[in-house]
Amino acid sequence: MKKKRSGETRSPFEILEEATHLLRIAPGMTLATYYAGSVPFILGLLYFCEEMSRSPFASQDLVGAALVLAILFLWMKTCQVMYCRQIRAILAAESMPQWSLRRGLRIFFCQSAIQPTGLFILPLVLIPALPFPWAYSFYQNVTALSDGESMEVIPLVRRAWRQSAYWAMQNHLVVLIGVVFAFFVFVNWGVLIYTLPGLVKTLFGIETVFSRTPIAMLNTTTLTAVIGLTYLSVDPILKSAYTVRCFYGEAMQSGEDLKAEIKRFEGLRSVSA
Amino acid sequence: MSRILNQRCFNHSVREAVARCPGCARYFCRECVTEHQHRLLCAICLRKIAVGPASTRRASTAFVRAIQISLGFLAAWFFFFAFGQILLLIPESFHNASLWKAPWYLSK
Repeated sequence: MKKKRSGETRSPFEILEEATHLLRIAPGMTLATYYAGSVPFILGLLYFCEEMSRSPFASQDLVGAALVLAILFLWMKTCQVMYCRQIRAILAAESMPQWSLRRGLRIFFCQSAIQPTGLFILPLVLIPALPFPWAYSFYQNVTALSDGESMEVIPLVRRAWRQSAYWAMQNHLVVLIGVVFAFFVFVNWGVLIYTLPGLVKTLFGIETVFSRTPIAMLNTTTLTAVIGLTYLSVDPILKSAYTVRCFYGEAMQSGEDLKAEIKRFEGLRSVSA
Repeated sequence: MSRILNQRCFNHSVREAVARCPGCARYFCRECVTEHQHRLLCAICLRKIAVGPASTRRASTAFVRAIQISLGFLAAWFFFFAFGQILLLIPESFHNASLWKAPWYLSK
């Protein structure tokens, strides 16, 4: 019998492989939940950057635009919690969670209390670089562990912090692989967007300002679009990876991984019978 | 596993231990542990957990929660406001990429 290894002995590649596999077997609704939150935020961010860099009324609209973006940010975090909860349900061989307005509001309020601090802390810890993986892991764990069952913030913070302290090397390598992967995805999206006007001109004969002067593509809107597309491509895998990490971290006390194995085994037995 | 085989129940010294409470790390027999949130806990630790949320609930009232949420929301708004201010400070030539066509840059 193949021996299942605990989270402790798993390499970061195994965690990322399992996360990608979960993403592939997850129903379409799971990814749709993720993008229902993230796409509006990225579009909002794009509009915000465009407004603030070009509009003559930018300084007048700034307060309102920042407010809308803050709401979209918290909505994104709520949807990401729902996404992680669904990934965890697949991992634990449970039925998909049932969502209600009450539960959704609990998640929204819980995330509102914790996630905005990450907007300040993550760029700050990026300067000394070394504590970044712990801080990054903490905010990912807050998303992965929140489930809307309770509105208590402090127990969630404690759980997320405890999980971020587990398997430091694995966490650092997951972040490193994530950064390298994100860099190449960024380059890919950048090259695609940079060559798109030229391709459109070659294939359809449509002349644009960017096909005439490709250097005009090097503006803040294009940069924001490429960053946004990179985030939408890489973040679901990283969220899934941190859900896997949290699952194995909590399973050390609850034995949830063994229960999931038994459930899967019972499922296979009933199918074969 | 070999350690638990040699242990006796904390409450019943004649009985063999079958589980170790993750709360207090003591060994107990089958009758002295109960499953709570996928963990086998002893009666004392279970009581602590049962009492804990009530006291926490008292401490973190709806007011405290409202403050937490408002502060969080304000922090998110302030971050994007500051980000917008930074974007406003960046020169127009950088936003519309005319910076790369400037004579001083082209002369390099």
